[in-house]
Amino acid sequence: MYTIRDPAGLEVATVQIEPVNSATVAGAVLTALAAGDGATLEVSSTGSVWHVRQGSDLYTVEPV
Amino acid sequence: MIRYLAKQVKADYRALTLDLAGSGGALADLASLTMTVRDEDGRAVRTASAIAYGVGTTANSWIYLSSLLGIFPDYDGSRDLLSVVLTPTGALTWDEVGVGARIMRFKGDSTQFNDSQFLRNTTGTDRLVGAGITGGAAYTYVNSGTFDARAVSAIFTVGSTGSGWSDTPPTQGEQISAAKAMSRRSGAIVATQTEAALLDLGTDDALAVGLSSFVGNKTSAVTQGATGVTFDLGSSQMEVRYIHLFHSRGE
Repeated sequence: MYTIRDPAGLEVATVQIEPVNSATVAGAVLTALAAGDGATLEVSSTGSVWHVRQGSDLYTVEPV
Repeated sequence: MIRYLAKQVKADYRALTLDLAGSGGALADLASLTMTVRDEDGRAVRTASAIAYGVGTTANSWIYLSSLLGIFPDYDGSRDLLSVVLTPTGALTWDEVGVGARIMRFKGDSTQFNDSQFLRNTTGTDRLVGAGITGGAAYTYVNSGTFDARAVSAIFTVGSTGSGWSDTPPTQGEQISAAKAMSRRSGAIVATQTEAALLDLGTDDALAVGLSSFVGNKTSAVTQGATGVTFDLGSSQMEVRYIHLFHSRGE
Protein backbone atom coordinates (compact mmCIF):
# COMPACT_ATOMS: atom_id res chain seq x y z
CA MET A 1 0.00 0.00 0.00
CA TYR A 2 1.13 3.51 -0.72
CA THR A 3 0.07 6.83 0.74
CA ILE A 4 -0.32 9.81 -1.56
CA ARG A 5 0.37 13.10 0.23
CA ASP A 6 -0.37 16.58 -1.02
CA PRO A 7 2.13 19.47 -0.99
CA ALA A 8 1.20 20.21 2.64
CA GLY A 9 1.93 16.65 3.67
CA LEU A 10 -1.72 15.75 4.15
CA GLU A 11 -2.89 12.32 3.10
CA VAL A 12 -4.86 12.34 -0.13
CA ALA A 13 -5.39 8.60 -0.37
CA THR A 14 -3.89 5.25 0.47
CA VAL A 15 -3.89 2.98 -2.53
CA GLN A 16 -2.62 -0.35 -3.75
CA ILE A 17 0.06 0.04 -6.43
CA GLU A 18 1.43 -3.19 -7.80
CA PRO A 19 3.92 -3.34 -9.36
CA VAL A 20 5.38 0.08 -8.69
CA ASN A 21 6.76 1.95 -11.66
CA SER A 22 6.36 5.41 -13.14
CA ALA A 23 3.29 4.42 -15.15
CA THR A 24 1.44 2.79 -12.27
CA VAL A 25 2.29 5.64 -9.90
CA ALA A 26 1.08 8.19 -12.45
CA GLY A 27 -2.15 6.30 -12.91
CA ALA A 28 -2.79 6.04 -9.18
CA VAL A 29 -2.20 9.74 -8.61
CA LEU A 30 -4.32 10.82 -11.56
CA THR A 31 -7.16 8.73 -10.20
CA ALA A 32 -6.71 9.95 -6.61
CA LEU A 33 -6.74 13.56 -7.74
CA ALA A 34 -9.67 12.95 -10.09
CA ALA A 35 -7.52 14.68 -12.68
CA GLY A 36 -9.29 15.31 -15.94
CA ASP A 37 -8.41 14.83 -19.57
CA GLY A 38 -5.19 16.68 -20.35
CA ALA A 39 -3.82 16.65 -16.81
CA THR A 40 -0.04 16.33 -16.91
CA LEU A 41 2.23 14.78 -14.29
CA GLU A 42 5.97 14.45 -13.94
CA VAL A 43 6.97 11.31 -12.07
CA SER A 44 10.36 10.67 -10.51
CA SER A 45 11.67 8.69 -7.57
CA THR A 46 14.19 8.82 -4.76
CA GLY A 47 14.65 5.39 -3.28
CA SER A 48 11.20 4.04 -2.41
CA VAL A 49 9.56 7.47 -2.40
CA TRP A 50 7.95 8.74 -5.57
CA HIS A 51 7.61 12.41 -6.40
CA VAL A 52 4.78 13.54 -8.61
CA ARG A 53 4.63 17.12 -9.83
CA GLN A 54 1.43 18.56 -11.21
CA GLY A 55 2.11 22.12 -12.22
CA SER A 56 3.67 23.75 -9.16
CA ASP A 57 2.25 21.17 -6.75
CA LEU A 58 4.52 18.37 -5.61
CA TYR A 59 2.89 15.21 -4.28
CA THR A 60 4.71 12.32 -2.65
CA VAL A 61 3.85 8.65 -2.86
CA GLU A 62 5.31 6.68 0.03
CA PRO A 63 5.07 3.03 0.99
CA VAL A 64 2.98 2.45 4.08
CA MET B 1 23.91 28.67 -73.88
CA ILE B 2 25.72 26.98 -71.05
CA ARG B 3 23.54 26.01 -68.12
CA TYR B 4 24.97 25.19 -64.76
CA LEU B 5 23.03 22.84 -62.58
CA ALA B 6 23.37 22.89 -58.84
CA LYS B 7 24.98 19.79 -57.46
CA GLN B 8 22.39 17.45 -56.09
CA VAL B 9 22.80 16.58 -52.43
CA LYS B 10 20.95 14.06 -50.39
CA ALA B 11 18.15 15.60 -48.40
CA ASP B 12 18.57 15.92 -44.67
CA TYR B 13 15.04 14.67 -44.25
CA ARG B 14 13.48 11.52 -45.59
CA ALA B 15 10.44 9.39 -44.91
CA LEU B 16 9.87 5.71 -45.41
CA THR B 17 7.08 3.34 -44.47
CA LEU B 18 7.42 -0.18 -43.17
CA ASP B 19 4.67 -2.37 -44.56
CA LEU B 20 4.30 -5.23 -42.09
CA ALA B 21 2.15 -7.42 -44.32
CA GLY B 22 3.74 -10.80 -44.85
CA SER B 23 3.46 -14.49 -44.33
CA GLY B 24 5.39 -15.12 -41.14
CA GLY B 25 2.36 -16.47 -39.30
CA ALA B 26 2.53 -16.97 -35.55
CA LEU B 27 6.12 -16.14 -34.73
CA ALA B 28 8.29 -17.76 -32.11
CA ASP B 29 10.26 -15.56 -29.77
CA LEU B 30 13.24 -14.05 -31.60
CA ALA B 31 12.02 -15.41 -34.94
CA SER B 32 12.62 -13.08 -37.87
CA LEU B 33 10.00 -11.52 -40.07
CA THR B 34 10.37 -9.69 -43.34
CA MET B 35 8.70 -6.39 -44.12
CA THR B 36 8.53 -4.17 -47.18
CA VAL B 37 10.06 -0.69 -47.11
CA ARG B 38 7.96 1.76 -49.12
CA ASP B 39 8.68 5.31 -50.28
CA GLU B 40 6.34 8.31 -50.10
CA ASP B 41 4.39 7.05 -53.10
CA GLY B 42 3.94 3.61 -51.63
CA ARG B 43 6.47 2.02 -53.94
CA ALA B 44 8.41 -0.90 -52.57
CA VAL B 45 12.07 0.10 -52.45
CA ARG B 46 13.56 -2.82 -50.53
CA THR B 47 12.86 -5.24 -47.74
CA ALA B 48 13.96 -5.15 -44.14
CA SER B 49 13.85 -7.63 -41.31
CA ALA B 50 12.95 -7.57 -37.65
CA ILE B 51 12.48 -10.13 -34.93
CA ALA B 52 9.51 -10.95 -32.77
CA TYR B 53 10.40 -10.12 -29.21
CA GLY B 54 8.76 -11.14 -25.97
CA VAL B 55 6.65 -13.98 -27.33
CA GLY B 56 5.62 -16.29 -24.49
CA THR B 57 4.82 -14.95 -21.04
CA THR B 58 6.48 -11.56 -20.82
CA ALA B 59 5.75 -7.84 -20.48
CA ASN B 60 6.21 -7.17 -24.19
CA SER B 61 4.72 -8.10 -27.54
CA TRP B 62 7.11 -6.37 -29.88
CA ILE B 63 8.84 -6.40 -33.18
CA TYR B 64 12.45 -5.34 -32.78
CA LEU B 65 14.49 -3.77 -35.58
CA SER B 66 18.06 -4.33 -34.57
CA SER B 67 19.44 -2.08 -37.28
CA LEU B 68 18.06 1.29 -38.28
CA LEU B 69 20.88 1.38 -40.81
CA GLY B 70 18.91 -1.26 -42.66
CA ILE B 71 16.16 1.32 -43.14
CA PHE B 72 18.17 4.54 -43.49
CA PRO B 73 21.70 3.71 -44.68
CA ASP B 74 23.16 6.99 -43.33
CA TYR B 75 21.39 6.88 -39.97
CA ASP B 76 23.45 8.00 -36.96
CA GLY B 77 21.58 8.28 -33.68
CA SER B 78 24.32 10.42 -32.13
CA ARG B 79 23.03 13.37 -34.12
CA ASP B 80 19.78 12.44 -35.86
CA LEU B 81 16.11 12.83 -35.06
CA LEU B 82 13.83 9.88 -35.60
CA SER B 83 10.05 10.09 -35.66
CA VAL B 84 7.87 6.99 -35.61
CA VAL B 85 4.15 6.76 -36.29
CA LEU B 86 2.08 3.61 -35.89
CA THR B 87 -1.33 3.61 -37.51
CA PRO B 88 -3.30 0.73 -35.99
CA THR B 89 -5.55 -0.90 -38.56
CA GLY B 90 -8.57 -0.48 -36.32
CA ALA B 91 -9.43 0.25 -32.75
CA LEU B 92 -7.13 -1.30 -30.20
CA THR B 93 -8.56 -3.79 -27.78
CA TRP B 94 -7.81 -2.17 -24.44
CA ASP B 95 -9.08 -4.97 -22.26
CA GLU B 96 -6.29 -4.91 -19.72
CA VAL B 97 -5.30 -2.11 -17.38
CA GLY B 98 -1.66 -1.13 -17.50
CA VAL B 99 -1.20 -2.36 -21.07
CA GLY B 100 -0.86 -0.44 -24.32
CA ALA B 101 1.28 0.60 -27.24
CA ARG B 102 4.94 1.44 -26.83
CA ILE B 103 7.67 2.75 -29.09
CA MET B 104 11.30 2.66 -27.95
CA ARG B 105 14.62 3.54 -29.52
CA PHE B 106 17.57 1.78 -27.92
CA LYS B 107 21.27 2.18 -27.93
CA GLY B 108 22.75 -0.97 -29.45
CA ASP B 109 23.58 -2.46 -26.05
CA SER B 110 20.10 -1.51 -24.69
CA THR B 111 21.59 0.55 -21.85
CA GLN B 112 19.95 3.79 -23.01
CA PHE B 113 16.69 4.59 -24.65
CA ASN B 114 13.92 6.95 -25.71
CA ASP B 115 10.60 5.63 -24.41
CA SER B 116 7.10 6.52 -25.63
CA GLN B 117 4.27 4.85 -23.72
CA PHE B 118 0.54 4.70 -24.38
CA LEU B 119 -1.42 2.66 -21.89
CA ARG B 120 -4.69 2.16 -20.15
CA ASN B 121 -4.58 3.58 -16.64
CA THR B 122 -3.92 0.95 -14.01
CA THR B 123 -6.75 2.33 -11.89
CA GLY B 124 -9.41 3.10 -14.47
CA THR B 125 -10.37 3.28 -18.08
CA ASP B 126 -8.55 6.48 -19.03
CA ARG B 127 -5.52 6.24 -21.31
CA LEU B 128 -2.18 7.74 -20.46
CA VAL B 129 0.47 9.09 -22.78
CA GLY B 130 3.96 8.86 -21.33
CA ALA B 131 7.43 9.96 -22.34
CA GLY B 132 10.77 9.12 -20.81
CA ILE B 133 14.45 9.08 -21.57
CA THR B 134 17.50 7.59 -19.93
CA GLY B 135 19.04 10.25 -17.71
CA GLY B 136 15.88 12.32 -17.58
CA ALA B 137 14.79 13.67 -14.22
CA ALA B 138 11.27 12.31 -14.59
CA TYR B 139 8.77 10.55 -16.81
CA THR B 140 5.94 12.74 -18.04
CA TYR B 141 2.37 11.48 -18.31
CA VAL B 142 -0.73 13.09 -19.75
CA ASN B 143 -4.24 11.88 -19.02
CA SER B 144 -6.06 11.22 -22.30
CA GLY B 145 -9.53 10.15 -21.26
CA THR B 146 -11.00 7.09 -22.93
CA PHE B 147 -9.46 7.28 -26.32
CA ASP B 148 -9.53 5.46 -29.64
CA ALA B 149 -5.90 5.62 -30.76
CA ARG B 150 -5.56 5.63 -34.54
CA ALA B 151 -2.12 7.21 -34.91
CA VAL B 152 0.47 6.69 -32.20
CA SER B 153 3.58 8.76 -32.52
CA ALA B 154 7.01 9.36 -31.06
CA ILE B 155 9.77 11.88 -31.71
CA PHE B 156 13.23 10.86 -30.53
CA THR B 157 16.38 12.95 -30.21
CA VAL B 158 19.46 12.48 -28.06
CA GLY B 159 17.98 14.93 -25.56
CA SER B 160 14.24 14.48 -25.70
CA THR B 161 11.34 12.13 -26.16
CA GLY B 162 8.00 13.34 -27.47
CA SER B 163 4.90 11.18 -27.41
CA GLY B 164 1.47 11.84 -28.81
CA TRP B 165 -1.52 10.37 -30.53
CA SER B 166 -4.59 11.09 -32.57
CA ASP B 167 -8.06 9.57 -32.72
CA THR B 168 -8.41 10.58 -36.36
CA PRO B 169 -8.02 7.47 -38.52
CA PRO B 170 -5.53 8.29 -41.28
CA THR B 171 -5.74 6.70 -44.67
CA GLN B 172 -3.85 3.47 -44.23
CA GLY B 173 -0.46 3.74 -45.88
CA GLU B 174 -0.48 7.55 -45.97
CA GLN B 175 2.68 8.86 -44.36
CA ILE B 176 1.04 10.77 -41.53
CA SER B 177 3.69 12.67 -39.61
CA ALA B 178 4.26 12.59 -35.87
CA ALA B 179 3.52 16.29 -35.78
CA LYS B 180 0.15 15.71 -37.38
CA ALA B 181 -0.68 12.97 -34.93
CA MET B 182 0.37 15.07 -31.96
CA SER B 183 -1.60 18.09 -33.10
CA ARG B 184 -4.83 16.26 -32.60
CA ARG B 185 -4.64 15.15 -29.02
CA SER B 186 -2.54 14.71 -25.93
CA GLY B 187 1.19 14.93 -26.07
CA ALA B 188 3.93 14.44 -23.51
CA ILE B 189 7.52 15.48 -23.78
CA VAL B 190 10.49 15.04 -21.55
CA ALA B 191 14.02 16.32 -21.91
CA THR B 192 17.24 15.61 -20.13
CA GLN B 193 18.46 18.40 -17.93
CA THR B 194 22.15 18.56 -18.71
CA GLU B 195 24.34 18.12 -21.73
CA ALA B 196 26.16 15.37 -19.91
CA ALA B 197 22.94 13.38 -19.73
CA LEU B 198 22.30 13.33 -23.47
CA LEU B 199 21.94 9.87 -24.91
CA ASP B 200 25.03 8.18 -26.25
CA LEU B 201 23.48 6.78 -29.40
CA GLY B 202 25.08 5.87 -32.70
CA THR B 203 24.77 3.85 -35.85
CA ASP B 204 23.87 0.61 -34.11
CA ASP B 205 20.61 1.82 -32.54
CA ALA B 206 17.56 -0.40 -32.48
CA LEU B 207 13.83 0.28 -32.58
CA ALA B 208 11.07 -1.65 -30.83
CA VAL B 209 7.33 -1.22 -31.37
CA GLY B 210 4.29 -3.09 -30.17
CA LEU B 211 2.44 -3.58 -26.89
CA SER B 212 3.86 -3.44 -23.37
CA SER B 213 2.51 -4.27 -19.95
CA PHE B 214 3.35 -2.06 -16.99
CA VAL B 215 1.70 -4.44 -14.57
CA GLY B 216 3.70 -7.62 -15.02
CA ASN B 217 3.92 -10.44 -17.49
CA LYS B 218 1.11 -11.52 -19.78
CA THR B 219 0.68 -14.10 -22.48
CA SER B 220 2.29 -12.56 -25.55
CA ALA B 221 2.05 -13.33 -29.25
CA VAL B 222 3.23 -11.71 -32.48
CA THR B 223 1.54 -12.83 -35.68
CA GLN B 224 2.32 -11.69 -39.21
CA GLY B 225 -0.30 -12.02 -41.93
CA ALA B 226 -1.50 -10.43 -45.13
CA THR B 227 -3.09 -7.54 -43.23
CA GLY B 228 -0.07 -6.76 -41.07
CA VAL B 229 1.25 -7.77 -37.69
CA THR B 230 -1.06 -8.47 -34.77
CA PHE B 231 0.33 -7.90 -31.31
CA ASP B 232 -1.37 -9.74 -28.47
CA LEU B 233 -0.58 -9.15 -24.81
CA GLY B 234 -2.99 -10.65 -22.34
CA SER B 235 -6.39 -9.73 -23.71
CA SER B 236 -5.12 -6.53 -25.32
CA GLN B 237 -4.61 -6.57 -29.05
CA MET B 238 -3.32 -4.20 -31.74
CA GLU B 239 -3.00 -4.83 -35.46
CA VAL B 240 -0.57 -2.66 -37.40
CA ARG B 241 0.20 -2.76 -41.08
CA TYR B 242 2.10 0.49 -41.50
CA ILE B 243 4.85 2.10 -39.45
CA HIS B 244 6.01 5.44 -40.78
CA LEU B 245 9.59 6.47 -40.08
CA PHE B 246 10.88 10.01 -40.52
CA HIS B 247 14.61 10.54 -40.34
CA SER B 248 16.13 13.99 -40.00
CA ARG B 249 19.88 14.29 -40.07
CA GLY B 250 21.50 16.40 -37.40
CA GLU B 251 25.08 17.51 -37.25
